[in-house]
Amino acid sequence: MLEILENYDYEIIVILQSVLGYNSSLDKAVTLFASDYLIPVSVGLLIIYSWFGTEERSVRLKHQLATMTAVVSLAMTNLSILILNNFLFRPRPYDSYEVEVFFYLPTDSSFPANSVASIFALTVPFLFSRIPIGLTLVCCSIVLGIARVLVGVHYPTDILGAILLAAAISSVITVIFSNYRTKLEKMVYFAQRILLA
Amino acid sequence: MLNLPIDYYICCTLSVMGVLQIASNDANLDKFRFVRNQSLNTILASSLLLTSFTLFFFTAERNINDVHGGLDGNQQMVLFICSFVTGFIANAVISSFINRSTNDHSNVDNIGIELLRQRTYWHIFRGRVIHCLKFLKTTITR
Repeated sequence: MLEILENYDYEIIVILQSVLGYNSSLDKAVTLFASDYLIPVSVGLLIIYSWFGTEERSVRLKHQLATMTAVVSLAMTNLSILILNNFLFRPRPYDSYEVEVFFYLPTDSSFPANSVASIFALTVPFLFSRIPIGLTLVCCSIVLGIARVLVGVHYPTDILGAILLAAAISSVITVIFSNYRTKLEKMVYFAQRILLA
Repeated sequence: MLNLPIDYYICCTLSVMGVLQIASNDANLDKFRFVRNQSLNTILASSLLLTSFTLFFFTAERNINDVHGGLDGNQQMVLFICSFVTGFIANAVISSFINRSTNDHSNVDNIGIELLRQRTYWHIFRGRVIHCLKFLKTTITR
């Protein structure tokens, strides 16, 4: 079963990579989107914007609560991946197959895709409170995931696993935090006192 | 440029400043802006963002494994937080200097960052420090 899944994974990589290698600009663009910096930093900036960038106080508070939930979801997802990788190590596609790599060669486990999980963990709280930012984050996760598969450092199931893991953890955190809204509001009020919210 | 961590820090700081300016426009935080005209301020903020991304990605090779001098996730997070702090302080200082003569002294019911619609960051900060010092003085002399 796993072998069949891995073969499908490999076939998808081969199909996706068939668009690369012909146009150097496209190759560079894909590498840029797959990089450790472009999408993660953009997402960080979006989170800063969501904290400050609303005119009405009540709406801003809602967004700030979502931001706090998102940051905790991110931390919990990363912790889960850290624990999971102690028990599960999946070699990278280029270790098992003849896959062309357009990126540096990472040495950690291929499953789940850390960067995609991190970004998707931020998504769920925003989908409940600020849909445009939530959808932007979903797009960022998908673009990063596809780019990572294209450059040959992840299997498609690594991306899918990362999204499912992050969505599950983030949903649980969102539900838990919705029960502690008053305490979170107190934290925002404290931040308001020092002009940070 | 210099080296990857320093470049990352500088470019993130510039980006944070740009984003804070866009947020100031959208939240109407007039005294936190660099330029009073909203359109011009948006152009300035977008330029800051564009410059920082261009400087970072097109001046050196950035796809480096963290075991060969790249930044791992934790290092990135720490540097990003430092950049946010630096960018926020820089915004507060620059906007307070530019808008120093335009403070509105009328009583307002705004709280938190909404105070930045009438007063500069420095003006509010100084007011709070003076208030604290007066409170301490009266408490000690009693």
